[in-house]
Amino acid sequence: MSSTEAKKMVVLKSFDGVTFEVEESVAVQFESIRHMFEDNLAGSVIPLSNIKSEILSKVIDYCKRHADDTTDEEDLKAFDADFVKVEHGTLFDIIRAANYLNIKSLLDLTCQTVADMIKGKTPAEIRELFNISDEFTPEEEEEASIITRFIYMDRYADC
Amino acid sequence: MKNSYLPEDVIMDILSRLPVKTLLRFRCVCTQWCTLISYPSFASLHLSRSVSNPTRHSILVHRLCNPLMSFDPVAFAPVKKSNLALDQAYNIYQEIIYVGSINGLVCIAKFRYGWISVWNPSTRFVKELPPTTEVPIMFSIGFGWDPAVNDYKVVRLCCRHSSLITWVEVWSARPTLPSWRKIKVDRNLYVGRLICDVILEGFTYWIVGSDSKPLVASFNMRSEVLRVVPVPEPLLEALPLPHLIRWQKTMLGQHSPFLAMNWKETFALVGSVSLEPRKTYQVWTMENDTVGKESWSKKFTFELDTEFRVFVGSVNGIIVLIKGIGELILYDVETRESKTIESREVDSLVLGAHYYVESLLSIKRVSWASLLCDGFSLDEELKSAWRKHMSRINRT
Repeated sequence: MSSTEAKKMVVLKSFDGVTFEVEESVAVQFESIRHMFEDNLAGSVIPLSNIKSEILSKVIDYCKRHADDTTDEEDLKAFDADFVKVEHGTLFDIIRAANYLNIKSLLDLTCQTVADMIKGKTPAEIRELFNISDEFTPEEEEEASIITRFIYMDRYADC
Repeated sequence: MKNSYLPEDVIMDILSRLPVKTLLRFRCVCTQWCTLISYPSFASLHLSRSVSNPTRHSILVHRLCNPLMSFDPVAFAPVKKSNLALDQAYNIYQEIIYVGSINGLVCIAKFRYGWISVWNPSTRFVKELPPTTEVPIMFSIGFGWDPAVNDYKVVRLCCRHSSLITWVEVWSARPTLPSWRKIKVDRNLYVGRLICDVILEGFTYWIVGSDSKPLVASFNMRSEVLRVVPVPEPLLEALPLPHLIRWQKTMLGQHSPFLAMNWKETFALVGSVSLEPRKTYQVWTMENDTVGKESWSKKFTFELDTEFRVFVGSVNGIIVLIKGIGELILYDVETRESKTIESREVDSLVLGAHYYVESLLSIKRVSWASLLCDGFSLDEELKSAWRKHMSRINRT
């Protein structure tokens, strides 16, 4: 394909029906759907049936920034730091989108953010955050708690 | 779809970024997390992240009759709140010797009883090795990893006191192999130190003696072959009265004129090249282009005040040494930066220094006996909980 052509655009459609026109140079970061537009399905709309428009627009914004060679590293770091300052529901939505689209750097950034966020939390707080129903029977919970105490010989308030 | 639902591989990705202590606590979040954290594949993923994250690394220094101390290798400072269960573990027993550490596993031994174990100080799992049939008077313990088949091996380099007939005994973590196999060595060597000098991926090294010269012995964890290479000539020139030295214990222990080290995952030898006062040192690395054609390459020269006398060990290009009485110093051979990390009025013998990267790895089959005999007073409640836990893990 000639480089003198006008920039090739890819059209993405979110779960709630909003379409986004993205330059191919940005969309190449979406590893999992890359083959769809690289197979030259020009003009056709790629449906992303599990990503909301609000999240897709954020993800596209992230990829645009990261595709731009002129941004210096410091600015990019500041952008990333700002990008993950969102409510945790949104952060989880972004993670799912990054995982679905297979955007490695975004998945890295968001997973690290969650890891930093949960590091100091108790198991009960984790269950709430991840919406995990407590599957342990009281007996199992006691067993796990004893083992943890044995491993570290100290007590965790909620473990 | 639940708003907080995340696929299992994403949860694994997130968890692999956490320290071991946090993960042990998170095993009681739910059964899914507990199972994930117990997967061997998760332990490998977690280890690969730990390796690239310096906050999960530490330098462990062992002083006689003192708890194992943990130092931050980047800031050159004591680790304030260690993630390791060091305070109440094996370190308080003075007869414990730390052989070395790789991938978060530490090999420990008690020489008097011929007892050897592989221990994970972060999870406290212990694997006690079966006893060996024979306890020769002179032997040195090595520990290593064979990355090709992901096997851990403990090696005893043994020699007879009078004849110096040398052999190697190998224990492998693979249950299919018989415990303690004997391997012949076609050279007679003098084994001076109690433990190996350097552990690298796939190889374990010792500085050994022969009748006339010091040698470097390397044991290949894959092929299980022991090879010996002479020490670089320039390092021999400055030795005191070289023709009088028989490479015996005094020259190979803490007063050895050489220090073996891991320099960026390559075996390196540090030695003085000036006669008294011994100030100028050279660092040589062993280039393993092809087996049998190992050659030495000179990397650095550095100077140390004569006050710096005792080399304790080395960790990733950083030498641990003692200045004056009891001042523990970390010295970076490349940047020549040195820092006092601990100062004591009275010198308590520093037995060793090891580089440690925390991990979840364990060698299968926990040995209860070793925990009990080492002073853990486990009540019945704890024991039965543990048995239930282990049987549940074994079922899955």
